[in-house]
Amino acid sequence: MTGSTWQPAPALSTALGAIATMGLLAVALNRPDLVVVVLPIAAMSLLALLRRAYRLPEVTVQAGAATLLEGESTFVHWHISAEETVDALQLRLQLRGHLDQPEGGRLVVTSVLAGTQRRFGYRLVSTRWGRGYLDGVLLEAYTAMGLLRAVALVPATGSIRVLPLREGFTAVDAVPVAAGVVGLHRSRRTGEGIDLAGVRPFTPGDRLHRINWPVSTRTGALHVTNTYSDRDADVVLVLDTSVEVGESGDGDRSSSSLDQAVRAAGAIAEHYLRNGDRVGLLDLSRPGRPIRSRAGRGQLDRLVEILLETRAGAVGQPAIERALSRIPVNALVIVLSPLLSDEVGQALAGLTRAGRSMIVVDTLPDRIELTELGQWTKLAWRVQLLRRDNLVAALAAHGVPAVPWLGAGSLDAVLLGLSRLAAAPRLRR
Amino acid sequence: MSRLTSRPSRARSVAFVPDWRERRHWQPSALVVRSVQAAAGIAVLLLPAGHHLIFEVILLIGLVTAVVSPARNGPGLAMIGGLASWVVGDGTYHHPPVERVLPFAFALFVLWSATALAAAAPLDCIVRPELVRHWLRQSALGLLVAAVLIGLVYAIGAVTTGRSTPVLEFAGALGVLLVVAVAAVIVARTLREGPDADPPSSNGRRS
Repeated sequence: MTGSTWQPAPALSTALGAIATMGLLAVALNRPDLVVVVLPIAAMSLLALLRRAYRLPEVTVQAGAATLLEGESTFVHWHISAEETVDALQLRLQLRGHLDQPEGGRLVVTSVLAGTQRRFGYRLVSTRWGRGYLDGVLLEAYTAMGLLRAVALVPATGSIRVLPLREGFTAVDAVPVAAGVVGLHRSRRTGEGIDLAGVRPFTPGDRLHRINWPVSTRTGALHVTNTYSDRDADVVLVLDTSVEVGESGDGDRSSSSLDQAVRAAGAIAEHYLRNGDRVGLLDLSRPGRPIRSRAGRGQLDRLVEILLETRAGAVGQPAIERALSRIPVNALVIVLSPLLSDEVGQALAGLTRAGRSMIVVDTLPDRIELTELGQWTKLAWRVQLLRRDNLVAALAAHGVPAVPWLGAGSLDAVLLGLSRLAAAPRLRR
Repeated sequence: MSRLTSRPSRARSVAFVPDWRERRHWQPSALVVRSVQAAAGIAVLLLPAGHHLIFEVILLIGLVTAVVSPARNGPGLAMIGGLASWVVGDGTYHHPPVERVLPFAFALFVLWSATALAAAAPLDCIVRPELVRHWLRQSALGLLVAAVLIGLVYAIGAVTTGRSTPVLEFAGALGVLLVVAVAAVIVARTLREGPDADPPSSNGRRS
């Protein structure tokens, strides 16, 4: 704890001035009532100064949980102990990040008696995904009934991880291109699996338990049941962080386009990783640092950690194109974007021309709060929306579906469509 | 291919809001302290017998400053206005009755004490109940000691009525100066001793 020495507060100079002036006037004017009116102040000041504190109390503050979901709350626990009585103790908690104390508690005034401990807690709510920090406590102590004052700083006490709210996303198990050896998605190739592909005549090498006896008996020749093989998918989430629109929800649960993108990315990653698929991440504002596709629980933790650090930032089209070109050919690319950037739109069109399977998840929120910066704000926003509509139409013309983020089942129709398209015979040129 | 076309864009509601975000949330507990301060200030304004506009204006300005920003010089201004009003209220050499002196002394004390508490409790802070209890207990103790001293002052006054001489008045003035000097020495000595001599440690606890 770093602190200053005790300093006189304004109440001390007020008391001394009043006592001296009224005492002298009482003698000069022969008026004992002038002494009487300041006697309570004099008596209180004298008593308080005789019983003043010399040492500051010990203060510790800590959060009840290190990890929260968006909107979840925990408690900030205060623990104060003092060797001497401190008449008033002002505690100002320095919070950073998207944390709030809706019932107050960021600034508390209490008192501590000598040799006692004081414990209390105030609710702490996470308002948005990211990291929150308890940067320390600014402590202002008053002794001698407010006549003396000292200031001290209790240093940083910890951080809280606020995970993005994942909206229970589920999707059909159809993916355009299933890769790998094992997994849950039906591939286009026949092999070991559950989904029926048809019945065909027995060929050497077929397993005996695959023989379809009813058909074999009826036709008089051995037939086997043919199934599609199950494979896992390679999913790459592309996060368009080149622009952020809307106010992030501190309190009223409104969300910005980046909030939508991060929440959707978390939900989609969790869904595919739980199904045994490999999921990677590319943040377009950090195109040089893609997260390679991997499977498993560890990958989910890794992706969430990266998502917590996501910030909006401008990036050039060449860098975006370079980063997109490194995405594996067989991967299902899910782009999370508010579609407000021309550079991103052009880069996506290029990726589609290269024959990648791609879905654009529109992360522009339904309700947007924009700061009105001048008389042209509304017109500028209308122009921006018109450009956005053009971009969506252009992407659709290139065969890139853009679907709004609606949580569970958002991508089902598009995934089925993409799968059918991928299964259709192609014209080789 | 029709499945791959985008869904029709949804109607989006856009709200344009003015660019001000900082809102202070005043806490009821802190407002109670300010109300006590204001009530005591109004009592100090009304209790003197005569009313002098200049002192009342000084008191009101000081009171408003003390309520809004108690850690500054407003409280001193309010005390100057209130005391000046009291001194000249009944005529400079007139002795007001005890029934008016005691309420005025009490109101002045409450104003001073509540302002000292308000300086420690900004409007957006939560004032914990234990602080209020402690403050009331200490103030009651101070008032008890003051009551004894006031009784003493009036007893001495009754004994010395009509016997005042220039020598006695001079001795009284010297006595007041002596008391103030002793108080100043006590305060100066008390300020020389710092709150914490121990060096800070990494976890914020003192060694």
